[in-house]
Amino acid sequence: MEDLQIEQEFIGHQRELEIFTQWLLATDPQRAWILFFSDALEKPEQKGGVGKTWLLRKCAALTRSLRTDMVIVALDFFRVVDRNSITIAQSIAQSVQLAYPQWPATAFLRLLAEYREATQGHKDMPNSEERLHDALVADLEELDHLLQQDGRRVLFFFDTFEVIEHHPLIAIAGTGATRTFPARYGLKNIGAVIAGRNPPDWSHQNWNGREAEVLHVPVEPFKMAEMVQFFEHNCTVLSSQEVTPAQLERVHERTQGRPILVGLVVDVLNHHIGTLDDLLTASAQGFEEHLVTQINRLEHPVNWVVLFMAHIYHRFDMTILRWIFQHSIDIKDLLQDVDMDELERKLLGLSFVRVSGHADTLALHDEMRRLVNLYNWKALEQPTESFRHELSRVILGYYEKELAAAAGEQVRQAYIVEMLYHKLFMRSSESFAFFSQHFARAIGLWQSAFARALLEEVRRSGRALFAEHQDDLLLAEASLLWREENSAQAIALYIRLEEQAEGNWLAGKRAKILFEKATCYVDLSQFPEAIEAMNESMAVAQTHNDRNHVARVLGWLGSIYKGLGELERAREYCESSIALYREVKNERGYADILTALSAIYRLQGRLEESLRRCTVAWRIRQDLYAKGFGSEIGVGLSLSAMGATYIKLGDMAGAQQVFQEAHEIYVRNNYQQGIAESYNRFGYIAMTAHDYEKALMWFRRAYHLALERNAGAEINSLNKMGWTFVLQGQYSEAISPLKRAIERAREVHDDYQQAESLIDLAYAYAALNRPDTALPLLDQAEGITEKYTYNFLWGLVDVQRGEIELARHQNSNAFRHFADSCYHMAVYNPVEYEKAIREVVSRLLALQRSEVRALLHDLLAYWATLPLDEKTMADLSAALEEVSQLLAL
Amino acid sequence: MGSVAFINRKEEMQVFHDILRDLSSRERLLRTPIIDLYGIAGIGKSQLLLEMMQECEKKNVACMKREIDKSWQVEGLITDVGAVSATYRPQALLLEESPGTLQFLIERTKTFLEQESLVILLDSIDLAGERQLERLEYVLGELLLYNNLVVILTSTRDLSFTQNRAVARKLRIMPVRPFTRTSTEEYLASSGYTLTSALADTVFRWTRGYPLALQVMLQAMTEQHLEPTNQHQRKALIEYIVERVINQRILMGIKGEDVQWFQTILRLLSVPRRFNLVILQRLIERFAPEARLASSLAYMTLPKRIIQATGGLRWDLKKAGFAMDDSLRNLLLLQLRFTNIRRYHAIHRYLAELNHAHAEEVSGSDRTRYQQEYLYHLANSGHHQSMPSLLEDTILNVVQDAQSQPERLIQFREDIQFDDELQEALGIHLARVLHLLGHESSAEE
Repeated sequence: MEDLQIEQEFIGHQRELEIFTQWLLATDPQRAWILFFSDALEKPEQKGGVGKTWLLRKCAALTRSLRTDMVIVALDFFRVVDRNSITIAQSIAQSVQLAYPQWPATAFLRLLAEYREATQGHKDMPNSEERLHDALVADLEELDHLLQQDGRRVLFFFDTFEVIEHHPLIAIAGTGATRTFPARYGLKNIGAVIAGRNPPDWSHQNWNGREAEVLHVPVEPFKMAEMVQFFEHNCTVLSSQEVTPAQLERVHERTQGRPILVGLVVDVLNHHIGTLDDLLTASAQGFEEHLVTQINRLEHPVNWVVLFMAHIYHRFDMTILRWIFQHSIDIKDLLQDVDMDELERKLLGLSFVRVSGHADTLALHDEMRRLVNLYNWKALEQPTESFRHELSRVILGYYEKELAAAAGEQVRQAYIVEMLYHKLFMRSSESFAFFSQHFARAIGLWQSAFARALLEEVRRSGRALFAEHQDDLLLAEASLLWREENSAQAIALYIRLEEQAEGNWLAGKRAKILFEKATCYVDLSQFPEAIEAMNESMAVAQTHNDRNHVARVLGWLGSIYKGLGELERAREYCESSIALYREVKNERGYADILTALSAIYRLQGRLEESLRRCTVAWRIRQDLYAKGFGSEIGVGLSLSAMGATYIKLGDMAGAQQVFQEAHEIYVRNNYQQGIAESYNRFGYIAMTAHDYEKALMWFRRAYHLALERNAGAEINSLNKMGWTFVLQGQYSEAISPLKRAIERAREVHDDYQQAESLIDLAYAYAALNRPDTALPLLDQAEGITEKYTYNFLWGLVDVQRGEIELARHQNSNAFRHFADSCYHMAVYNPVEYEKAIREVVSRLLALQRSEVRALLHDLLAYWATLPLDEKTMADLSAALEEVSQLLAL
Repeated sequence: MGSVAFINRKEEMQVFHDILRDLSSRERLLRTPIIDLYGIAGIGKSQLLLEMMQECEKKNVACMKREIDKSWQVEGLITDVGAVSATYRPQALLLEESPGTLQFLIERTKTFLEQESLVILLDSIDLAGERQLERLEYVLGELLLYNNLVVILTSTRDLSFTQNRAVARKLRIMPVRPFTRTSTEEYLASSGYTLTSALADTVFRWTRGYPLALQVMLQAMTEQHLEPTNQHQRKALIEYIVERVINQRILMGIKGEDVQWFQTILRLLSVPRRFNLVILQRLIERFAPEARLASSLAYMTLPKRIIQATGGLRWDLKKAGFAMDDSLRNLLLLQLRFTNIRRYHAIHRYLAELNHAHAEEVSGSDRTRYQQEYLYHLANSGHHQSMPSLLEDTILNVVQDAQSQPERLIQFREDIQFDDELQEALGIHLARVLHLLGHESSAEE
């Protein structure tokens, strides 16, 4: 039906259609997979209304006729509900199921149902967006197979991109800095057509470096001939022959051929509001206002309804119109004797009114909405905005009623965003409180897209906020940026707040700002800055006696020092944190830090203590989950921590059992990130049991699940695959997965795993007798370990260097490296230090006795120069002395 | 009063003459065979139709004329077409089946049009209501193929046909305007009144060339002996005119308590030259609190109510606001001034304050517009003694405002030069105002 209307009514844009058709039919696999339409006119006030929406519809119609193999998914960001990754995922599932009824989307639909249930019951469902995305991708994997089998493709159409152009990631779920819009959802056969007012901003992180992926097509306004054709087709009162060429030229010049204005000229003529000469009396400068205000002269109540639509623009249909009339005192008269169907028909007869999206609501063209608000409402209610305030008041009543019965979280979120718009418009005193309440909830539930939509609505409203609200808004944005994994920008905002925020406000928020800034530094691996900010935050919280906050900071400091290998300090912080959490009876925080502490004890070799702590944490989390105060995934994470300790204890059966239990929880909750981690754990157990074939199978499964979803697990699985080959002596086979691990770690700035794989790769090359290839890799690894003081890895670098020197018979150099390794391990943790000492001793003992004496002297002398405390220093010295005595040197 | 010549309708009649000429020629196509003549009651629409009917008689073109009221139905045309057929084509075979239906009407008219041209004149078509207009549109859609049917409609507000593109394309809208100054003089001469030039000038200033008002005023002057120049009689004279023009004609269809409501509102809205919803609401709340409405939104219904009842209000693009019909506004404004000068001044003063305040809150051309209206209302606010200094302050503000945008000052000056009403209100102060605006034209001399 729509295709027929498009076929009959679409005019112009032939160049753009030709480009689209060529793109659509092209078979070159290297061609850009995104076609991007934007306005050719450059001035911001001239953008919009150039016909992109119609062009997109025409392209969709062309696709349906030329490429029946395409599965089309169309979304319009004009609709608030469409600016959400979950809605987009739903639309994809629905559209694809239409084309492939046999595709069940089981995981996605099941999780979606759970998500709905959880959100309706206001229950915590952490990482819901990511998990839904993961579930969809998992289901789409199956679809991808079907698509490839049938040679079919999925084609997305995204309209009104300008609404999300600054934060396009709100339309994509998943995690990782490498996410970009549009997402590919793991599909190989995919294309996207985007329409937005502005061209892609290549400096924006979403588009940076992606020029080859995008075919950008500027959309031109009507040329003269196209405008004449439009007149001929749509003007009911004049044919183009009845208009002089001079008049047409002036219309073209005044409207600049923008279809939105040409359409309005025709509307004015068709409704006998004015003649062409009347319209052309306005100056070029005043033409737009002159033309647009003609809408006020449309017949009653069409003129008012157009104005209502411009203000209540998010959604509009006859039900809403009836609500307005029925719930506004005394305006029922406007609808007296009006046939609603007839009114709707008349509205749709106007060039700038259309049926929007799949909900069959009426929508004013977005640009016309701007123009009507700019000119018509201004003329009617200047200098107040009292009439629109009243409309907002009335429509808020409608939203409140609908919200109570809203089906689905996305619809509920859309209503809240739309309500916020009206509250802000009314300058309602509680508008900011409304925003803060819903924003905080969205942040708490990790509903980043919803939080972003709320924030952008406040920004778009352009309302002058009190200074303290401006600061609140900046703080909200910084928190959101962190959740959007944009820590660098978040830090810039925190610094801005520290420098510019109002004094009293800042005093009240300082602890929070410093803490959040510190977490951003942690994300960026800038640990000294993170520690400084954490300490400052703690000091501020202590002056306010905010013990919960102090406990939280102490816990974080423990984690940071653990990452730096300073385990004793890390333990002290965690113990302090635990003590405080116990005082304030914060069970959730207490369980979190117990888990962290168990990892520290594990690294320190205090394995029984480690096991007790993570077992207690597991019990607490189970209780919290049963009471609905915590997620089941937390329980799974505690089990995983227990498993890691079991491995250190050498209890592989125990480890296998708890990993299995954790895995079942992850599967039940469709927590893909956890599932991938479980596979890696299973692989590790198999690897330590020398069952390399099984180990490789688990690592491969982990890799496929983590691919493009969980970079950390993806790199880990590649690394372990490589190491499994190394353990089998298949050094050449190890090179490829280790190189891929390094490359991927570089892409996502995972420095730790990059260094780890560099060392492992160097080991493989050294084993292949290629030290010249191995050494530069170790240089790279050392650069990273030194920068971030990754002592454990640093120690491994020195072990590798020592091995290479040994192979070259440079024993003195080799043992200096082994001594360095002992030093780094000593700084890292006592278990690794003891292990390092053992290895030095065994290496010494492998040498000729004649060589050992000289080496021992040299080694002891070198060891004495290293900055270690006396006790630690004594451990290696004592071991070396013992060797000397035993060998009777 | 003697018989009055048909005055000032050359444009409309020329269009009609062209149509009749095209009707008589089989080669010529009728471009716009449907014409809607619209304007307020008493502006001369019916007179035009009469004139057109006479033209048809002269040219022996079949013509039928019908006064429309609320009970009229399109099927009523069957009788009219029958009567015309009986006169012009008595031998034509009339269909007997399904009498009374639209299809019967269409077929009967088609039968006639196959032989003869036909002009249908429908006076006050807007009284028929939406439903009948839609049915009329349908009938016309079926008949316009014949190229020898002409339909002239009159209404108080412009019509549009939206159901059938072919019909919409054939419709031409023509506003019927008041007489010009010259035409008014012609009218006076043709009616047998001998007025001095000053008195004729006064009559024009009172009536603004509105034919019904002219007729009533001249009648009052001759039959009631009421003179506009007589300070004691002018109040009675304006009351007489308003009673007959506004109350008895414009508000003819209004019943009961509504009559007083409309009188109050129209009188109030005659004071501003332009207003938006905010000014409308504030004026009513301040000066007619008994008519105040419960919420801001409710004021949106007022323009529709006034337009439907009187046709005397419209959105004026040049003024960027609602404006009363000039002729009606002038009569009501005079009435207010002559009968209650204190209220007249008070409303102007309030509007001056309102426009002044609004001017402070906006910028650009909106600001200039409010400043101009402020000036107009200030000049009518009765501040005779303080007027020079008030005007001086105002103009100096305008000049100061325009320092960064000199073109605004030029625009403001030009606007005043073309604003007769403002010039009249400023009276002796006009020269000073223009001088302050830096103008040294003949106005100052």
